[in-house]
Amino acid sequence: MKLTLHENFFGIRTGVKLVDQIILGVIPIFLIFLLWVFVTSGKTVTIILPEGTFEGFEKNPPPEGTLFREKVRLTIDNSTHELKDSANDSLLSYLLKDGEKFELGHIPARPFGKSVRLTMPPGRYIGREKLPPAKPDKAPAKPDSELLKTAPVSENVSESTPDLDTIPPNNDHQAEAASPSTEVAAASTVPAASTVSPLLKFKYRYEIVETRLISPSMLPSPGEVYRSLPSLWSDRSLPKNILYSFLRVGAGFVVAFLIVFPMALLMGTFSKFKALIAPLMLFGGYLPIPALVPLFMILFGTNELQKVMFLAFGFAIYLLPLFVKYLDEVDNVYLQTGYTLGANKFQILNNILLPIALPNMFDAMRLGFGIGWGYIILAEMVDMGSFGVGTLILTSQRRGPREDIYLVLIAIVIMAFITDKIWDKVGQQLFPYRSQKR
Amino acid sequence: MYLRGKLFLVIMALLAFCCGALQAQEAAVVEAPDTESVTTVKEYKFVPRETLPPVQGTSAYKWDEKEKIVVFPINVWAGWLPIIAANNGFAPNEDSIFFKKYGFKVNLKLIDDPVVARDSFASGESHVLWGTLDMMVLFASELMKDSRTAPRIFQQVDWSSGGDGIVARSKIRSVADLKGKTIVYAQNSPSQYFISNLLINAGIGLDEVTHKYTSTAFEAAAAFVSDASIDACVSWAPDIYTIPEKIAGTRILTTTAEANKLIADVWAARADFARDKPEIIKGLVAGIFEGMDMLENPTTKAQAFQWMADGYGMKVEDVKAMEADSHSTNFAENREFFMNANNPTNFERTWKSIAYVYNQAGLVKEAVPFNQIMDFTIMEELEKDGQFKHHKDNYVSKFVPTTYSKVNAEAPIITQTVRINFYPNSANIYEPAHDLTGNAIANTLYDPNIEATLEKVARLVGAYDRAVVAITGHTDSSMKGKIPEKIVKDLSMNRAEAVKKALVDKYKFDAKKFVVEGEGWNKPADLDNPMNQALNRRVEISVFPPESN
Repeated sequence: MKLTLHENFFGIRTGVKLVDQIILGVIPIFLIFLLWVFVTSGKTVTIILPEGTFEGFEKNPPPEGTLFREKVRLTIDNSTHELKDSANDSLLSYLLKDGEKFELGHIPARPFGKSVRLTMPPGRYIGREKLPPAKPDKAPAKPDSELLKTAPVSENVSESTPDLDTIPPNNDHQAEAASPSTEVAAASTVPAASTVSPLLKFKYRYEIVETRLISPSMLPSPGEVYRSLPSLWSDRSLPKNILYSFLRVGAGFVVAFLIVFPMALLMGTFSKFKALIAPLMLFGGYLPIPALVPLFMILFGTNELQKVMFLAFGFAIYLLPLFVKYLDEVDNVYLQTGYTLGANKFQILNNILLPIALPNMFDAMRLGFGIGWGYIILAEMVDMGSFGVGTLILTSQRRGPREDIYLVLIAIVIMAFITDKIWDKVGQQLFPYRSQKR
Repeated sequence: MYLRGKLFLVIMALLAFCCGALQAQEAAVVEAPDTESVTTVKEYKFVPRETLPPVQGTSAYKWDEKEKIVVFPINVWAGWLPIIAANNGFAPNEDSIFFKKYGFKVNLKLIDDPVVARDSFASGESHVLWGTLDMMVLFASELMKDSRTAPRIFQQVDWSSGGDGIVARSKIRSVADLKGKTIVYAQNSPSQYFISNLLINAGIGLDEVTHKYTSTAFEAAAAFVSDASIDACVSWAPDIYTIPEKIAGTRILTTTAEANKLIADVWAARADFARDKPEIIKGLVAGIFEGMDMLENPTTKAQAFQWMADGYGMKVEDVKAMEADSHSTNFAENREFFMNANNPTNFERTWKSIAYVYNQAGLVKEAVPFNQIMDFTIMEELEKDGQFKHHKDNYVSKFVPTTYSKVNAEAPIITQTVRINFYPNSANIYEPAHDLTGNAIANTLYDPNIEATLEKVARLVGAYDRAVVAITGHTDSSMKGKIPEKIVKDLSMNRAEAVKKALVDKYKFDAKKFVVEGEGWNKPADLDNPMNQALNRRVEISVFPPESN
């Protein structure tokens, strides 16, 4: 009974059909994605506000369904802002217009001349509210979501956000002194309701990011990550950075191979040489590589050489023990036979050791190539100005956007997948007998 | 132009004959538009809770109401000595000031990596984030995506005072020499702010220097040592002091020993924690001030150093050697920093300088406004309580009167060239604009940017609190050969004096900090193009190391 082997998609030899392989392989990835969506989705609320002017839509109101991806400034004319102490010693924030009262929740607001400026959180402009045909609703409009009503209103609600940067530093702060109380006093003199023309209102839906399971300052949502892609791709030139890192990893790998391969062969052939190197090889595997970054800088400077050599070192300490191991694993019977037939050391190496060990060594190289991507951040810690995905991650950690960190991670995963496919194809060409072995 | 030249001659003659009278008249004008600068301290009028972004949602930090342990990460830095003393070591314990007086415990955790500290803060594992103000500018916008993790800054812990510095090859005598050179430093760190600030102040574009970035200051120092093609590095003590000792041909260009009010170390609390537990925030602030008092006692101080050494895993003598890197800021200094709007190195100005520098460096597009981060309510309360009345602002540099020629014997650390548009022949920087017939127009300024220019100078001079500053006036050479040199020198001298007077009046600098000189037309701004008269009419601000006085 012969087991059918299928073309492997994720680089694993299994007896599962290709289609099933893909489906099975995607399930855990999809589950992780779902989990990601789950922990980064907050509750959304819909708020009703009187018509105002959105920044960027000065002439006409935004079309229905407009999605604001950043905070947006909304100016509502002829309105006033009011802060009221609620029963539980917290502040409630209201907007008053034409005698109607709109609860603002936590949307930052500040008086701006005769109008009120709101800083709307990112969200969607749903559109104008349908007007009731007969008489305008005079009851205080409330956000129609349960959540906003029940959400505990913060104690520290503040009502203004003066944008000092627009004021030259020496103008001091008279601008901020405008106290809300005078505005409120003025508001009370406004006639209670102007029923002549009904107040135009609109609905706005936004997400309360604070209700997410994981705070957005820790983990951005998949949507945010996706939206950050264009700026990462063009402004921060992701392809160029990937190329630089790829070339470094590739060069480091080549250097490592050129050193490790002959070394392994010598160790496999001459037991004295093996005894010479073996302890070094053992210690190398235990070294915490990050601590060696400054050492490589002193040895190889701060330019490309340092990065390539650092990566080469990382590859070498991984590959050397494996190469030696595979040479060792060659069955003694073959060697004995070779010696019996009068082969010399070179012939043994060339005709017996290498042909048997090479396919395994190739597999080690294929798996080991991924190591370089693990070390890339360490390698690119020095001279961070010279591109690379490691640099991208390091700088995004410091000054954001955090979204880019995850995008780069995804990009690295995709890169890894592609390179692995290439390794696979090359392997099939080099060792055709392997794919038929089992 | 001809008319103006004629006018110039007439007024020059006038100047020569009745110099005194004119001066008196000018003095009267100088005071006019600046009525506010009479008081030394001008307090902010706004209320922090009106400008700080509101906190939304339920709090997301870890908290055990029974244990009451505030997790306060710190880095390896001498400025944390007061809180270590107040906390009776690193671990939460019942012998600390915080527990005995304010009823909560503090867990000082060594988290040296700022990114890890930030993530611990954002995830709610810790309630506090350590950092320099420039790091806060970089972190703020990301942290404010969630109103609960928005940083609130209540207290300045110290000024870096010798802890950060720039080491260069010996041929580099002044910041101006860095033009076209290669500099290495840790990106997105105080080092980057330090060097970028200096370059911008020296009028060197950030793209006129080759920048090499490392991820830590330690690596920057190592890169400078190992790579001779690098001309300067920005790093920390002790590297900045050991490199010039060990590596021939290197010298310290400048350190925060001179720029002693440039890099401010602070801590920030999570907005939701500050909202829920204002009494704990107040206890932290007060406890740190009390720690500063405790360090007056030599036994306590020795014990604090021992705790610090244990906590950092260092030797006691190494920890003691760090002491000079920073200057702890007591209550009086914090009051100046948070509440005095006139202080040239207050929170607002430091924050804005950082925002400007990082904008120029392309790191931050639009910084968060300072008043959405700074919260001086605790300082106000402590002032009302009078608990730290005995704290005096003693961090005031003393200057002995000196002369320009003495100061100028050495190369300046940095020279800032500012262009003040003086009305022809006038030394009044607040000169009103004139109509066509030459009459002054009320409530106008001939140079409308004068306040911004003074602000720029004040921020540099303020940051270099300990340094001596030379103000040199220069005139154009349009009248060369037509009038005696003496009156031109006098005019440029008067212009330099006017700048000094404005700085002293407005920002309350010690007048002895400045030396003035009138160079006349002797030093054209651009040696390749000495006739560029618009460039030549200028004032130069040079900062000299304090040793030279």
